Amino acid sequence: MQLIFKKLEIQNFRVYGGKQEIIFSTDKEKHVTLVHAENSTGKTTMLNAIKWCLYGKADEFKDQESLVNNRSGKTTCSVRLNFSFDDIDYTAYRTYSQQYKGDRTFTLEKIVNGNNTPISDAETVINRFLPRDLSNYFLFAGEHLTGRLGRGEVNKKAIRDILGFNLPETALKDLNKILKKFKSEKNRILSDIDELAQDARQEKILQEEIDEYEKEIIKINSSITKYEEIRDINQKKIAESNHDKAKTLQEQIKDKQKQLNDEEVIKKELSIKRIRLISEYGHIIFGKKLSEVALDFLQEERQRIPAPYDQRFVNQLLSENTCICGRELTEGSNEYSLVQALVSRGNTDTISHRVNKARSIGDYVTAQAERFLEELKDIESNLTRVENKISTYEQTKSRLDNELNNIDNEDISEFKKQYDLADQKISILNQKLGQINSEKKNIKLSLEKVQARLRQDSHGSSVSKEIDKQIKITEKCIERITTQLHKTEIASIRKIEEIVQKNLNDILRKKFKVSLHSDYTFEQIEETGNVIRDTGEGQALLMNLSFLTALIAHSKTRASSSSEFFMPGTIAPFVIDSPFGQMDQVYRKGTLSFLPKQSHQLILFLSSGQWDSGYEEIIGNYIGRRYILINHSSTNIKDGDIESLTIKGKKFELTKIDDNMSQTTIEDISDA
Amino acid sequence: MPDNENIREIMMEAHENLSDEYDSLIKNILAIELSSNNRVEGEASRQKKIQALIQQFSAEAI
Repeated sequence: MQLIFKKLEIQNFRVYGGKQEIIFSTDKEKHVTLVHAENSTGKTTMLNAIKWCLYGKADEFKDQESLVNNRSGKTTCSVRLNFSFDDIDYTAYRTYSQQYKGDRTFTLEKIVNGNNTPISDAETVINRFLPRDLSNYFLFAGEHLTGRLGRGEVNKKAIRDILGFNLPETALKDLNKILKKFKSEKNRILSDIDELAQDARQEKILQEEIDEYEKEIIKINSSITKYEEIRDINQKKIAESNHDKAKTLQEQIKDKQKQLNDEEVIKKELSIKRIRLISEYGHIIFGKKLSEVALDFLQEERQRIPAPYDQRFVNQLLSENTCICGRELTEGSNEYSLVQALVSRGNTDTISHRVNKARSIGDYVTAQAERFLEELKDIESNLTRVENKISTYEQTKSRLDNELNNIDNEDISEFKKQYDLADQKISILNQKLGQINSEKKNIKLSLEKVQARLRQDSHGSSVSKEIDKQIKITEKCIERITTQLHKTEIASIRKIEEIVQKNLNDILRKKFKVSLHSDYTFEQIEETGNVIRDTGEGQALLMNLSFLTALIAHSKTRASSSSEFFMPGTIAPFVIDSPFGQMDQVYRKGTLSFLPKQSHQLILFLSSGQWDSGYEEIIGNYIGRRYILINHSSTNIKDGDIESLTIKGKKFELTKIDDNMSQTTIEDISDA
Repeated sequence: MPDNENIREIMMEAHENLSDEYDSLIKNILAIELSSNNRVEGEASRQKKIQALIQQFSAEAI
């Protein structure tokens, strides 16, 4: 993620009149571009022109109106910045028109094989290349870098972004949100499982109730068996007694009872047959009624539906020119027209087909209904017959019972009494059994419903287990990335600390230890252990510059090593206006020594007061391109006031008297 | 203070720690983050992809 500035074109922008351009050095060895100028001639403007072009804002340009050079006579200004990002060329272009207030345009184009392709959402893409918050760490004025760096969350985030930590950090944020989603899904399933638990409890209760009923049924059946034995014993006693009449009556009662039982079975079978017949064919009765109405209609309206005249038959009469009555049908005659009119009302094949189909359905329904009624009638008649038989048998049995009861014999009376009591008990128990079976059937139905729900919910339970797995995996990923991030951040901090320490060891007169904290604030500690509280502006600037270059240098090293864990950090050119601020000569030399070594592209704006011919030895080998800004003044300037700069023994005038212009121009002195 | 070699070792160790079964999962998550970052993709769409990745990993895990 390396950004390299290639060329800046400024047109009618602030102090710059007409079109001015500067080509930045992109040579790997000689990657420094120096811009010399007097104060107030456009150094800071050039720095801010880059910021304005990229972001549409620059702190110094609060008044947009003043962006256009007021001496150029133009109402529009523009800045174009050509750059490469990850070895792909781009051109960013921003304009401002005074005429149409607020009318600013910004375009970003990708350059491939000399062809420009516009990029949509240009502002977003620029912020991806170099976020605006981060740009202050690369494009800045030395005077603004005397405060403490690394304070606050914004700075911390910017530094972590430069180090390329934003990729795993975003992953952590995403994973935490996903974890929250998984947990909320899990809670939802748990509440379903709560219902599942309720169903499970309900199943247990219902099953226990059924078990109770079954125990009761066994008990009743056992009682019935017991009473049946008593009844049979007493019946047998009567049958084996010496009382002939009682024996005969007993035999007859037994036969009647058998007949009664047989008829009861038949009655039950007939009742079941009747229910089945009605449930299967009952609906046909309604169809029968409708079919009868439809068939009656078809029958009554036979003169019209289907039409009395078959279309084909009428057409045949017309083609043969002879009516059915034998009269001649001459085309155009009144008779011909009358017969022809019948065709429109004639019966077509489609109508015939539909009517026949309707008739056939109607006939089928009627036949089915009649069959149903016949079968039902048959069952009803059999039922009546069986019920009559049962009634007769009951009467006979009742009479025989009475006769047996009236026999004047103590033993027989006792046997009969025991028999009747047992029979009565059996009857009561059978009733109770029927009731219990019916209740058991209802409970069994409820149990089946609950069990069906439980089968369905067991699927929910397996989903819950799966979500548990997903939660564990997500937590593990979070833990791993956090650990990895922490380890790498600590290693990065130690490395940056080491680079800063080395930079300062070479420069500072007094030895002290640099301590960089996890929040990226740093302290200078004397050998005695005292923390240096007030370092002075010069030293603070030196420290901050050293920290920033160390940060970028480390980020650059890491970007070159392929890591799938960290995104390559953002590396942009250092563009520094007046880097030395309040530094003394020693600090300036030291700064000039480490700055080019620890950056991939360095653009420095220096006033002539900040330049010393002795610096040439330190930075000279890194300088790829060099410019001076010339201040054209229309007012009279005495020769002694003309500012000049001597570079490698050659004198360059930085001020020129020009009646026609009062503005700044850029001059390339790279060959000096 | 650790020297350059130590720093490299710490970085390598941190990287090697990912070499088990979670290695490819985390790399794939980060690949989604990287490609989303390059395409300025929305947060919801990115999270949906990561969630699907975790669910797939979970389904394939023994």
